[in-house]
Amino acid sequence: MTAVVPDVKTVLPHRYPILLVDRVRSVEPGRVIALKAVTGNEPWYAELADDADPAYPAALLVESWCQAAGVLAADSVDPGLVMLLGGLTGVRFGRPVLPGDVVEHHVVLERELAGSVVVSGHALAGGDSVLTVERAVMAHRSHAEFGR
Amino acid sequence: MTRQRAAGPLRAGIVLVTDSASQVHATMPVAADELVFLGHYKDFPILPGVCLVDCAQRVALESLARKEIKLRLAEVCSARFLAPVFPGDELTVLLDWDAGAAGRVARAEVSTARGAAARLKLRFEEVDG
Repeated sequence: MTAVVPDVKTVLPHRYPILLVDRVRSVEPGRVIALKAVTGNEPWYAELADDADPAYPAALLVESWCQAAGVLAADSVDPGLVMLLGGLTGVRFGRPVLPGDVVEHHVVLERELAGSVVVSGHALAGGDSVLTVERAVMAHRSHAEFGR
Repeated sequence: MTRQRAAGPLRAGIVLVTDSASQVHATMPVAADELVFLGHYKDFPILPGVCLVDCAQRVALESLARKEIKLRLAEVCSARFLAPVFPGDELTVLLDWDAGAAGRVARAEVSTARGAAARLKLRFEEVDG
């Protein structure tokens, strides 16, 4: 069964410049495929020297993948909570992601716990492996828990 | 202003306080006007956990670059995010190179004045080509 594909802004609290999922391609129970188009116009490239390495930052590739996971988790989350990354295990990077790449994130829900989810998956760009994630834990917390 | 050699989510510069063959101590301010806070999250600015991975990665690569060693991040072997980081915090990174490991493995703790914010184990490898 394929669920209705949501607009990312209706399910993720992230906004420019750190909304790093552009489109949800498909959602099934426990699985999501989402797309992120990388462009040299993203603010992370603003101060980059012209002859510097144009690789997309590894940390932002992981963030983008985690946001795809957030789409999967959104159904079970109180809208008053924010999603935070709790932990990562075995996150391996493949070939560098470059401006012009469209990254396809694949996320599988492994376990749902009270207030958090455990997910795994991978990401492709142009058919090449760019990321594999053995395990990520995403926690949902209220603002009040941080005393803010 | 010096142009950056690598893209990254934070604009702040890293200061290497001490840098030996086995251990690096660095600091990095988290300015309130960092772009990531515009969208993470609206009305509740909190640093994305992955920025702590980026910070430790930058410390490792900058330290290696001083020794004319060029590697790239191959794996986040493990990361535990322990406490939030807010605008205006100052990050301290203590990074130890694992002498016994095949390749280059770094264990890092990133902390704020309130205590540890993340503990990370990162693996680096040769740059292809």
